[in-house]
Amino acid sequence: MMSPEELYIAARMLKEVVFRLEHHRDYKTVMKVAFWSFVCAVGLFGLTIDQFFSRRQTIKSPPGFRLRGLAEFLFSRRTFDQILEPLLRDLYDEYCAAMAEGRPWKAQWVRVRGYWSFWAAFFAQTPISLVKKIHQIWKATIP
Amino acid sequence: MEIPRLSKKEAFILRLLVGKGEMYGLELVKDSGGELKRGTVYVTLGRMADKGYVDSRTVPQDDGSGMPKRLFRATGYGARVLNAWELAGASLVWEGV
Repeated sequence: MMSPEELYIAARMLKEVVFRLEHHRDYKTVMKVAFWSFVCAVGLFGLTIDQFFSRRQTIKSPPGFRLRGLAEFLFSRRTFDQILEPLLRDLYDEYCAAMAEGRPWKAQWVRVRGYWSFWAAFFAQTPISLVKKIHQIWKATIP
Repeated sequence: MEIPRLSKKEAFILRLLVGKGEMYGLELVKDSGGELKRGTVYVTLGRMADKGYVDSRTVPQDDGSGMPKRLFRATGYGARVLNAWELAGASLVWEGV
């Protein structure tokens, strides 16, 4: 059985292809649209190619677990504890709440919004952390 | 003596925290009515913690996520800065500025 998100992606792709066929009847355009729809679907929903085509039930980790590792590795303890981890915690809470309510569409929306928030904070914090790190190194090396 | 600075967003957060006590970041976003965004609220709270306006503590969760929740509250200094900021604002209104 296809999951609702896979059904949604497939429906969107089909709609896009039909629309292009009706309006352009151009084989190359149709192929291009189908290809980019596939790329977007895989990228946006974090599906692997295997998941996309198979009907197997898979166990997924909640969103943000890999990002947590990346943030912990790249940023200082303080930045991670005070800014990035609470963001991922909120994403986790909202995602699980939406799934518990039986609303996978809302869960997907929460996931996209959560990733957006994370990257916004990530790029807002990167220059600050970088300057602090350079300052620390400068202070440590100059007597 | 350095005069403490308070941005509009920081004042908004302090007002919420002084009024409601301890709050999670997500609660702040939800109670702000669109004034605060998820992506920036923790950056602002981190800056406010550096200035000493807010304080935070972690609340361990036993849901297997391994991620604790963080509760924020206004410090006494933060509350005094907010009070002074509001008094200054009110006096400017009274002066007709």
